[in-house]
Amino acid sequence: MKLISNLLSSIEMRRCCVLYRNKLYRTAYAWCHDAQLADDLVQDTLCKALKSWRSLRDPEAIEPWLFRILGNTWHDYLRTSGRTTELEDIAGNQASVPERYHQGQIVDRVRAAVASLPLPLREVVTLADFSGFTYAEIAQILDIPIGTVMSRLFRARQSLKSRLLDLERSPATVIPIRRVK
Amino acid sequence: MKQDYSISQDKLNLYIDDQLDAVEMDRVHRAIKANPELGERVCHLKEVRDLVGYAYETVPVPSEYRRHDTPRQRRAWSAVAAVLLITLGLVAGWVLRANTLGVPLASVDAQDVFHYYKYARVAGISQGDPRYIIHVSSGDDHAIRIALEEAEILLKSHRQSRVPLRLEVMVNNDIRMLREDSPFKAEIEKIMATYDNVTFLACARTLAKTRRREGKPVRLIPKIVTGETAREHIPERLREGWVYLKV
Repeated sequence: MKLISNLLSSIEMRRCCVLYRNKLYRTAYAWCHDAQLADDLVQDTLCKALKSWRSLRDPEAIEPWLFRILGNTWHDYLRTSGRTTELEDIAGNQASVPERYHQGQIVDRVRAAVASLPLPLREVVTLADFSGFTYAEIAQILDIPIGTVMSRLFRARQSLKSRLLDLERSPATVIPIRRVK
Repeated sequence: MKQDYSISQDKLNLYIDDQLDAVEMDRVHRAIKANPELGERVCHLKEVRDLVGYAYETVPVPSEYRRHDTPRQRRAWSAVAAVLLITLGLVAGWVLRANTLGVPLASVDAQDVFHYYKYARVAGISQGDPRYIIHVSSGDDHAIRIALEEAEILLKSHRQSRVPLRLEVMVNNDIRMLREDSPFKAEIEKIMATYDNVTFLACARTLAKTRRREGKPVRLIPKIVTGETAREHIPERLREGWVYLKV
């Protein structure tokens, strides 16, 4: 019975790898903006998930569970590598963002703006806006109070808004649309 | 800019993320209708949220990840075309941002969209028959009406000019438009009965969130397609060369 159970777990885990691996990778990339590191984080996450598969009580909650492991793996990496960024660094980070971009490179520009956010804000805004988690799920994934999720999201979006607002001011990218109403 | 202190920025974030209960959603919605500046702030927040979402949808995954992808995910696509189309879509969305949430609506007519399509053809980022996706992310009556009117104008004008067309209407954030008891049910059913080249889609994520919030299954108008999220489906369509119009 144990063998069958292990086999089923393995099959289920494989299915989840297919389902969530790309999303895990892109979220990890949004946090670290380093393809190799994002890949390492995802591999570590999936290894840990496989080992602790039985600790997952609610199969419906597998997605936030996997992302919580990813969050822990990411924070472990930051601790061991000495790379930490505090919320107070936000002002310094804002000043370091490159301001010149080619028109049309919206994706690069948005990623650069997100990359310049302090880590705690970056984690929350990507989990909310890219990964699509609810505030409660984000609080669970990052192990922080829901009020902290809200305040970080607020600060992250305010910061991104101020950096990305001039997107629509690029005249070369505007297609004339006639108002009819 | 004058601030509306009765609705906090936190609450606006909760509103655009669909995290409020029905009563609070309605209260914020009414406040936005009454105050165009508040509506503009909401549009800015939504714009930022959508930009972040789109920016990471296109991050290329390591090649070994793709072995398990579905054929659809494996389909080759042009990064340049995607970026350009996302740009066009976002610009169109920005221009139309005032259309949402009760502020006076602007719109495009069929002729504009023909020009838009021609622009894409000339730029080499759209080939073959015209394909459009209209994105409705608001439950506002006026916005829904505009979306349906424009869909019908597109369908009618292409049929008259004998240009084959594929049109999709993707609804997310507020699924009210596609509910079985929607005030727009008759209109939507009439469009679907008249044209076989139009598909109405309900975002799977919005459906799941609505179901969770209401504690019961969401009943939709028959023939509404479900199963995909707007955040997955729209970038996929952009990669395939569809023209994106946001209401």
